[in-house]
Amino acid sequence: MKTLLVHLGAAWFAVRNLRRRYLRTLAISVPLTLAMTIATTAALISDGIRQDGRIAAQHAPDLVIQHVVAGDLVPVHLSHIRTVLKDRVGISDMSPRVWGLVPFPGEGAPGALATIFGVHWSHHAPSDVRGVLVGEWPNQDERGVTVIGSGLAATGHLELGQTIRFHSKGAHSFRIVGILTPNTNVSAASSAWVHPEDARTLFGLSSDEATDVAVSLLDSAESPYLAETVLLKLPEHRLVEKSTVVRHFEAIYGQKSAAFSAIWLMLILVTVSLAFAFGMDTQANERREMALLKVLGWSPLLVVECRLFEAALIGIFATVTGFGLGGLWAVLGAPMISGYFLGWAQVYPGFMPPLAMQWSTGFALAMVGTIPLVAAGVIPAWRIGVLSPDDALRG
Amino acid sequence: MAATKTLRMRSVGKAFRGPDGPVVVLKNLNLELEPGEVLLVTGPPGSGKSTLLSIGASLLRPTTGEVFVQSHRVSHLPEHRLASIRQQHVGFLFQDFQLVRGVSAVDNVKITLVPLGLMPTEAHRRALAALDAVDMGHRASQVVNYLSGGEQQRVAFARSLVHNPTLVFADEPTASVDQNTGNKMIQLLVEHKSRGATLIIASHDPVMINAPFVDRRLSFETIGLLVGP
Repeated sequence: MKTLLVHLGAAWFAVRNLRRRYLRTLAISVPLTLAMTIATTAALISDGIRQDGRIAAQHAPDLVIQHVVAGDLVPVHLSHIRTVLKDRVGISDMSPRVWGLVPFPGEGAPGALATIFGVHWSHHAPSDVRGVLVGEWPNQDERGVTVIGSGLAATGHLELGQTIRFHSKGAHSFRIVGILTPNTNVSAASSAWVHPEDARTLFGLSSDEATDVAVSLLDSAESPYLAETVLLKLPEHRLVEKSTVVRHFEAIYGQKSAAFSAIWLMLILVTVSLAFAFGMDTQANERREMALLKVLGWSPLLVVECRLFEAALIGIFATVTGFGLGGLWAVLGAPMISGYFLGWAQVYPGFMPPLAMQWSTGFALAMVGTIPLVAAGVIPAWRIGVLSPDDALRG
Repeated sequence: MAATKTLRMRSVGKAFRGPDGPVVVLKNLNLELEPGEVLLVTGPPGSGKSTLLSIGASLLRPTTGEVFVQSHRVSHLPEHRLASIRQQHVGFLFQDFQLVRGVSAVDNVKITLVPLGLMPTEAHRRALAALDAVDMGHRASQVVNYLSGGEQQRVAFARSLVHNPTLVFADEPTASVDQNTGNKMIQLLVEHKSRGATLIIASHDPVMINAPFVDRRLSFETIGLLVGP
């Protein structure tokens, strides 16, 4: 108990020191807080997007077959693909998908695009698209109706019962019968679901055409092998494996996150250098005070501990404040940096970035916010700790 | 027998490095002080009074000889061991106060109590009591920068005595205070002596020089030369 109280006493004096040397405290804590704020916001968005991607990928087909001509995605011919896949073993399901981008019809996001998905109402329950539905899910062959994502509804101020008109190669009006709040913001918040035949009309596709074909396998591990063999029979086609989608997602947002990490690490480095410089350039007055502590019975280790407490307290303060401010910034939509992360927000209606943080990310942030600062203080603190009291007091 | 002495110095010498070679400040000093004994050290500025006090308080190592505080051979102990000796036995009142700037009077006194590991409330109570004893209780929360020289002297006094040291070193304890306050300081030193503390006081204040509670006198006539005891 006594030992604990001695350490608490050192911490108490460290707090007093931080208060009375507030200019130095601010000079170190402000850039560190800024760094932690940026890092927290970036981590929340980055981890959130990755989590969204993982959730979306869990329900993605094992393989997607797309037709690419001269680098452009063109409709696939279903009869041809059915022929190629007919005798392939290991395929559990093959379903054509009709989807595409259309100009956002409302006034809320000029120049933005919405994603139209054709779905067989009877084949897909709302739970398949995963989210909370307001309104109703259409009946089996119901045409001319749509379920829109909540992001789309919010941006365009759209409500149930309203009619919305989409234009692509064709044009089609839809009555909004449901608004879906998906749990994967990135993949579905700006989407609208319509009957596949309505989607075909909109995108000018014949009944033998689709945007792409989703293939489910009996054994997902077979997808690379199947992709390789199918590709031989389908030149000018691209087979996208589920793992590739996930990998690309991780790579893109990993890179974006890394860019912010670089900025963040530079700020941390500046702060730590600043703390080190302040520590090494200890004024005679400060050396005198530390020597005085030794005269008053403080051990060299307790003097060092007091100095390290100062660094740790700044680090903890900056980390906690950075977490708070970064969280607030993220909750407010992370203005200024969300556009960088949500690159597609330039073409999709804007929506709140998904937010999440893994424990490992949070732990790493907390450690990087505190440990380097304390480490930078060790040498200057030790130099002060071993000063001869008489020498320092005489100056 | 040696254990009964509060402070012992044997053949203590101290030389500082100077531009023209070593400057000898103390030479072959032998001294033994009993509990409750008061030693007054006098001499002109630069004569070695403060050096003697620093060596006795284990703030400075002698160049030659050895120093004992109680039974501890402080002249040869490592720094980390000296901390606990100072914490238990030594109180030091500096001529220039050496208060921690930007901190209140009570906090200045509490700093001395940190190594003792007291409960915060107990430390605060003792610090206030020490300030009350020097009539500074009403200024306890005042930041020391805004106190007068005399008030700062009294805070320093409270700080040097708050942990009830057995060995008190006072460098010009009445130099910055008026006569009334000086008398109060002397009264406090006498009280401390009566509790068995050994006092080593450096002063050239006539009041102090002629004070009846002084048991022995040590005079530095010139640098390194002692007259008495």
